Amino acid sequence: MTAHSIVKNKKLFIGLVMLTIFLTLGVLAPLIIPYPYDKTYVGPSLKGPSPEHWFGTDRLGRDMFSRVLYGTRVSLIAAIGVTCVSLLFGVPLGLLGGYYGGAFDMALMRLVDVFFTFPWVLMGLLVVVIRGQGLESVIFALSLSYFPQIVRVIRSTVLAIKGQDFIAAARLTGENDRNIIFRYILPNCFAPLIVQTTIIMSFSILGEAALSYLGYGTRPPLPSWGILLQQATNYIWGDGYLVVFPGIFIIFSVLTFNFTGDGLRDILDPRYRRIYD
Amino acid sequence: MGLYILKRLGVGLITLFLISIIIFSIVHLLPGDPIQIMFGQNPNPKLIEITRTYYGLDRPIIAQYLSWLGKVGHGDLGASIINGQSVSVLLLPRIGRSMLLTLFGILFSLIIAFPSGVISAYKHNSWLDLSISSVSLVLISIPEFWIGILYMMIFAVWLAVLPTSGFYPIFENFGGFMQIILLPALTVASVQAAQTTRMTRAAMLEVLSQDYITLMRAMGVGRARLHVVHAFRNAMIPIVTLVGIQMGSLLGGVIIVERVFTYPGLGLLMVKSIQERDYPVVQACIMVFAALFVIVNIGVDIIYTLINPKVRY
Repeated sequence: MTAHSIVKNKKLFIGLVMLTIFLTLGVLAPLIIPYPYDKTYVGPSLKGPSPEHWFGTDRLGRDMFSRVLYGTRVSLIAAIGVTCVSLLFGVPLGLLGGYYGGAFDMALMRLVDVFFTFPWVLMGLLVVVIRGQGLESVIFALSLSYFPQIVRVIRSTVLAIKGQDFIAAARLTGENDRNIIFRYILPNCFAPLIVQTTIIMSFSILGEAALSYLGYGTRPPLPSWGILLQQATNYIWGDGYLVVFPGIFIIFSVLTFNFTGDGLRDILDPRYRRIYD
Repeated sequence: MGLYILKRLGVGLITLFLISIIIFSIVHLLPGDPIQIMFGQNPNPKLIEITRTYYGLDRPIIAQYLSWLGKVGHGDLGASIINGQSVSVLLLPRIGRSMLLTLFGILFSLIIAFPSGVISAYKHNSWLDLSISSVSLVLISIPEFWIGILYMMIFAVWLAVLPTSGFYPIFENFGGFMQIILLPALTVASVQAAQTTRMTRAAMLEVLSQDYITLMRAMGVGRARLHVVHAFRNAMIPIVTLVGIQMGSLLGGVIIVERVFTYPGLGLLMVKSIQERDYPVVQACIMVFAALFVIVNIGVDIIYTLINPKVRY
């Protein structure tokens, strides 16, 4: 993957530009926002977009621009959290299952299939029921739903690699299993893994927003986009601007990861490009 | 084939049994005491004890599970702790409503997705293909509840042609029912259709690159006939598999969409009952969802073996 191929692949280029914007907004949100996101009556109640309040104000006179922008940070935390937890569990399980096979692999895959197909909304509600509401519960629940994707990707890559000659050669030179897994197999899993990671990130952003919308996700006053939309539904008869901006931000951030993922896949997996474009 | 279906049903039953154990244990780890909630701020300790015995909440959890399972076998799902209504009576009409919403959602999504996917592949790399692909890429990036709110704003508030909420039973007032279900079903369908369109297009292109298609083209089979009759039939196989995998997210989507439109289905009841810590109702809702989910998966597996002659059991 060279700089040239990144610029040539439009999707990846656009994706990376959007990703830079998303990360900047997420990391620097506290510095950028003009008003504290939870400060009430910094402006009039329920006023549409104006030069002072770009995205208008909500019923309690809170600045919507600050709230929506700070929501980027909540989404970013959710996306990174879910990805890290999924990788933490998915990578070792996938490596072990794929490399050793046998009964462990069988049992693992059945379990993974159950988690893979179980509706993530139900998983989210179940976890909230057990652990209580909060961003950590959201991350935990979404990780349970998405780590199977990591397991599957790693496992299938390991299966494809472990029969190849260079693995046999490594074994002949006396390398032990640990070295073979970490030095020969894992580096080859990197490409499919990074594509899968972008997919999980976009799902996490959607999942966090949806659970928060249902009232079982991030806890107010932290301004998750889902919570903002939940509050906005009470005002669709006159104040549609409350609905529009959080939605646009969700679409932007999810598209960011979809573009990046699609672009990376095109570059890293030439077979896919031939068929799907 | 018959044997395969039986085997599949057996595995499904075992899965359900395991799920029931997990869900039962989880629900009983719930924080907060429903009996406390039932009697408000200053409860009479004696009364609490009697009620707890009445609901069997003082017995060991395994005994509670077995008696619950026995009752479920007889169709008795217990009573709501909040208002004492029978859970079976509460659930039964809602199961039907949620299934209707799911079915209409799938139906609408297929009506949209199959033609657009096939056209996209037929006009591969044209502006039409590009716009269909772009629209579906944007659509899969939108949360369904946002689409739902937008539809509600456009059709119910601005154009005022459809109601925002309310309900009519399908058999009593079909027109009213269709008006109620149209927006929720379209919301479910929009996201699904985007995904299915992408799959249809990809599967069509994959099939079209195979040798037998080239052969048929050489034999002089017309282009439209080739696409719609020969390629589409084989493209169905991966599509059905993927639609099956999506069923989980579809059921989840139904829960969210019911909340958006306050459509009185299973999902709305469940979301409300979690808030009220109504154990028996939450438990039953999750069980029913899990059962629907297992049944749908069995259905998809069976359809898959029927349409794919390569799979023999």
